[in-house]
Amino acid sequence: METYRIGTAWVTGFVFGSLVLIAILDFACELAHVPSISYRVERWSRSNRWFAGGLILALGVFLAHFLLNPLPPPSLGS
Amino acid sequence: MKDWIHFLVHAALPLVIAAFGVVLVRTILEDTPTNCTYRVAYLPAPWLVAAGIGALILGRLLSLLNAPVPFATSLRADRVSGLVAALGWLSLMVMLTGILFYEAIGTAHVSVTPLGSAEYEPITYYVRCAIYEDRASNGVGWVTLLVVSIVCFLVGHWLWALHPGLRAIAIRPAEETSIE
Repeated sequence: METYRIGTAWVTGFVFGSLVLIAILDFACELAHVPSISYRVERWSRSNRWFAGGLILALGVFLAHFLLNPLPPPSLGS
Repeated sequence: MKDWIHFLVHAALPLVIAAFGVVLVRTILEDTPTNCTYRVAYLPAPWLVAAGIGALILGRLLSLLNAPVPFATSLRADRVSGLVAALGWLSLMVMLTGILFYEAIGTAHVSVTPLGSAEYEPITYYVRCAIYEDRASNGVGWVTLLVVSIVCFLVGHWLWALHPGLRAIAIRPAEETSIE
């Protein structure tokens, strides 16, 4: 696992960086008194139900792959 | 009052997420992993799933603190919003493609150095190794618990929010629509 530190730091930085950007955008919506991200997402989902369902399925597969994958690290697996 | 609490939570969120992210990245960079061996006792952890579900519901309920305010939208604003949404989805798909590409490199164990002394690892193993490290250091996995809770809280608030006012109205052309 020689790349653990830099790899994990990149993954964490990417995830939290994205969350910060979205949180700033959501706060800007609140300040400007315009519909928030969650309002827009909900409206969009209601008019694109099948597409929204497909995206939820895709995101679920990603999360399950990253967090529920039972495989051991390759160097120790067999 | 409820509207103010909602406003304060939204104002604090970027700062809290950024601060926690910086602390987390610094901790990871200073950490030397010694517990990345496969441990059945560490994962799966049911309470992490329970915490995630609880945080998801809390994030959903946060929307109820927002006092009903009539948000009037215009046709032009909806067009701009649609363009931003399309660009957002495009960015997300490009990022996911990049993530999957890195995952493929990691799975193939491509060498980092010309001598082949180190190999890229799949993101899955980074995540699992971080959880092993956390649980090995304190037993419970407090940092993992916090990360799962924060991420699920945000997902619950942004993607599964509770807007009874929005449900009451039908989807109509933008110039007629006033979202409560």
